[in-house]
Amino acid sequence: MITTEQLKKELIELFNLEGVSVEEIADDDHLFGDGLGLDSVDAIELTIFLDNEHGIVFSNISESEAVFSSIKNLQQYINQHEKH
Amino acid sequence: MKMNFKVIKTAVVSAESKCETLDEKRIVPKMMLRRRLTRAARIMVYLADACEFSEGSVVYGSAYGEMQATADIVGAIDAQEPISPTAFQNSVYNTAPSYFSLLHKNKSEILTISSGDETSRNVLQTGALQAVTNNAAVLMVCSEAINIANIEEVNECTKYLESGVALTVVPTDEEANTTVTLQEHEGYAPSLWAMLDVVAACEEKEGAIIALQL
Repeated sequence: MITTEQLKKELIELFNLEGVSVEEIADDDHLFGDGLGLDSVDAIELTIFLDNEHGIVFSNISESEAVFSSIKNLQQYINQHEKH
Repeated sequence: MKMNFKVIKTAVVSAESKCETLDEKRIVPKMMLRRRLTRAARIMVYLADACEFSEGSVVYGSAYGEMQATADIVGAIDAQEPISPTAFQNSVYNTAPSYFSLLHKNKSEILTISSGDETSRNVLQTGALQAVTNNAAVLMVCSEAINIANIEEVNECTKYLESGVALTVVPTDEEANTTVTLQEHEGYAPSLWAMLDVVAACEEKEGAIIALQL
């Protein structure tokens, strides 16, 4: 099981979010746009990361859109679907 | 054919492992852009800043290109893992000057050259042509960032795993007053030597004017 704090740490490292701390990221922050500010390249990076590190492969885009809508949603999805 | 150019600014940076004083947070205040910068891009924007250049034509050179991104891609292929899109987009030779253009919203032309040990010599020639064509200042930058895992197994050419040299020139009708002497620059990759020759000749000389081959 991954906690939201562990996930935030992983995202900070994955996206090289210099100067951003775990405390600054809220559980309901969006990953893209006004939240963490990630972009389309990051979306592919995150998809690959989830496959490599958690064994998660999305079956369709609408599913990933819902999961990527917040840190909390992503954390819950990882804990429900992790295969590693 | 040779023409004369006034050397406006010069800058050099080097480190045996990693350049620690590239001042990225000031030069690239937006973290979401800064986080993507490769080592070569950080060196390039630092040198451009040191030359006080943000708008105009740029000629960039690197013999080895984006070594870390390339190594990341090769590593992923070897491990039969998907290739990182960030590594893919950062692996091209013009990554560094492209980030420079994004940073400064510079819409002028950017040329990238890679020709082994002759890289900075060709950057000088191409930069001179650009300066004459546009009758404007041109930024020329050469950098190498080869500080990747196990590089010592193959590196025989440089002590400095990160290094770069830059100069801005503008065409002039004035007579050349500075002679550029070819020399070896110990510790630096030979791909940087021709531009280091110019910097060495112009060091501490206000208003240096050199002749460059077109």
